[in-house]
Amino acid sequence: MTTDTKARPGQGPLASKRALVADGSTSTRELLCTILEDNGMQVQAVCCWSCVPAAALKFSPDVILLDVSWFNAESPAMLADLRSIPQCGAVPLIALAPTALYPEPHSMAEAGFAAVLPKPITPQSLRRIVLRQLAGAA
Amino acid sequence: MAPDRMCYPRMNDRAERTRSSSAAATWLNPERWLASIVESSDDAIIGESLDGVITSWNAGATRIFGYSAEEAVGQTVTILSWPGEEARVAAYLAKLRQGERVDHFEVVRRHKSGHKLLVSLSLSPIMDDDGEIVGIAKIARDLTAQRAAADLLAERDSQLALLTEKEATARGEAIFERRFHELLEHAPDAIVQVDSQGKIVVANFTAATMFGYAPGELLSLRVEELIPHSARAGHDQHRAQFMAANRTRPMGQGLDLHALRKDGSTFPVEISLSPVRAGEESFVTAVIRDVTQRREAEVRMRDLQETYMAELRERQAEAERLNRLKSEFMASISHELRTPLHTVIGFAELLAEETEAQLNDRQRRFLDHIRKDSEHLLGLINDVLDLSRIEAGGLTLHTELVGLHAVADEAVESIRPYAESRNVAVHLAPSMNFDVVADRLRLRQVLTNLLSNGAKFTPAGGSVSVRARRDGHLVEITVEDTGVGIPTDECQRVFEKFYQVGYTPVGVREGTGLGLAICRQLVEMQGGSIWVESELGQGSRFCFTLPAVVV
Repeated sequence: MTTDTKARPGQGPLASKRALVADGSTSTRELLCTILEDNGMQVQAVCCWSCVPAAALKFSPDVILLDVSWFNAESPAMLADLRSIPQCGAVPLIALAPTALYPEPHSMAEAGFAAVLPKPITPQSLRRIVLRQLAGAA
Repeated sequence: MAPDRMCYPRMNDRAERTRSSSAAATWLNPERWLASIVESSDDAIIGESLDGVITSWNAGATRIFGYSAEEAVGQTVTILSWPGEEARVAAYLAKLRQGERVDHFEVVRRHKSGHKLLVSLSLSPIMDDDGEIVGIAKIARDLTAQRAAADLLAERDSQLALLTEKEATARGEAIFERRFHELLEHAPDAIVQVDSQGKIVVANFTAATMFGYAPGELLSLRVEELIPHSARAGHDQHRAQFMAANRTRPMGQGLDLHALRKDGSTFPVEISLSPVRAGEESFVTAVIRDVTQRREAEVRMRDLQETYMAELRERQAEAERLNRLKSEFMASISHELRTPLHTVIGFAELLAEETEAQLNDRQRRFLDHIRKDSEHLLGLINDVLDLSRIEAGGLTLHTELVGLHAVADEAVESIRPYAESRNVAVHLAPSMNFDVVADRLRLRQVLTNLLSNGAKFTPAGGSVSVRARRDGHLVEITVEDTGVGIPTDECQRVFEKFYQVGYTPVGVREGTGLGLAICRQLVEMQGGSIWVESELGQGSRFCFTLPAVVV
């Protein structure tokens, strides 16, 4: 059973887990970092997909959240590159979609995302999806 | 005077008449008088006994039948019979025996020499003083010459008619020949006939004009004179091959043929060749068409086509560029509009969790306004962008066999918090276990939209429900509410863009008027239809169909 109960830093099921976040919007990055850190996670945020591999190499995330607003034909190849990094081979990827309808969830699944979280992101929805993915990866 | 076997006019009357008219006649014996008349007649006057023996025979009879009186008198009339006529004559004789006269019937008789005679015969009975028939008087007129003359005349008429017909035919032929000549001379194409040696033997006026020669000048020229120098080699051989093949065909298929004018200039032509045999001689008829204008027109048309194609490609490229720009703009604007709203909503939600600090009631109310209005604005933006994408053909559906109950359940659960916040119950009928052919996501969008509308327009204490039923190859899905309803005359318009009906139970207009328009587009794209049944104050039933099986 999932829970929306808030956790303090260093407590709860997400404590000490590492999340890598890639989103072009500064405010969105701060929102994501705040929610995840409030739940005890260590968060590394970058502003674009191209920064993700380097950050992943250094950070070794347990989960990666990628903004897919600009998902295009080249994106699957970039994801494949990401997957080729040993630290990211089995890490669950969560797509941060601009709406519940776009990009089509099935195309996200085909691209290798484990889940899609449509915006707007609320603390509850983010906590729930990250928890579910980490539980699945464990 | 004792009467003879022939009857004569009464003597008293005759004597009276002759005495008064001619002194010379007074001394003439009546029998001789009568005999003289009979003898001078051109017609044959023959006396005949009832048993068919000739009793008298005049000079006319001798002229017609060839027998002298001495030869004929005492013979039976069968000497004059023609085989095959007996029955007719017997019939007339029978009438005669009844005392009737028979006048002018044509009958074939036989001449002494055996040839056939056509005579007109009149028969009279000869009676004695007691009125008894004692013999027959026959007057025969020879019609042979008359008939021969008539036949001759008819033959001449016939010959004349034949002659007239021949003249008419000859005249017609002359007219036809003249017309044919005119047709040949002034045909739109040049017509040239050459013999087996390549000498021109026929050339029409058009040919002379086309090649720049005087009329008649082409005759006796060799056909090679009309062929550009570059194409003359082997022409003799080609002609011989053509004559041997003996079949009509176009010349130089697939080649650009040119002809040579007298002045040395050339022009494009099309040539059709036909072999002609006249006795032992072989000829080739060539029909030559000057295609200069057509070729020029083709070139002009090709140029025009290339120009248009270039223009079309340019416009297409421009349209594609604009379309790309529009897509990029739409993507950009949607991102730019949504992103700040997403974070506004996200931070509002975060603040509402009061992790950082406790909020007072006023702050919580303000925060609630921020969240609700942001979500409302986000809904508007999403609707506008979604419809724009659908209408631009940018929406791709992923249709599959979808379990209706699971999708309806997701939709119901997604709007349940909103409905419950308005004290509206939401029910999902158990009879939803159908599979439909649909795009799962878009089906959920339609259901969510209809349920959300139902909850929005239903007063507190009311309800919204979803049910479904199978209807042939379709599944009909109904979202029913106990809300304010829609005036019947507006039911058709609710699916139009920007059309909004009435107010919510709390007296405000909500939404963009795009939700139902999007629903209609999505349902129709999935092969279904959508409609509403409602009355003001009686709630609404929004129904739509989807294919139940893969067709």
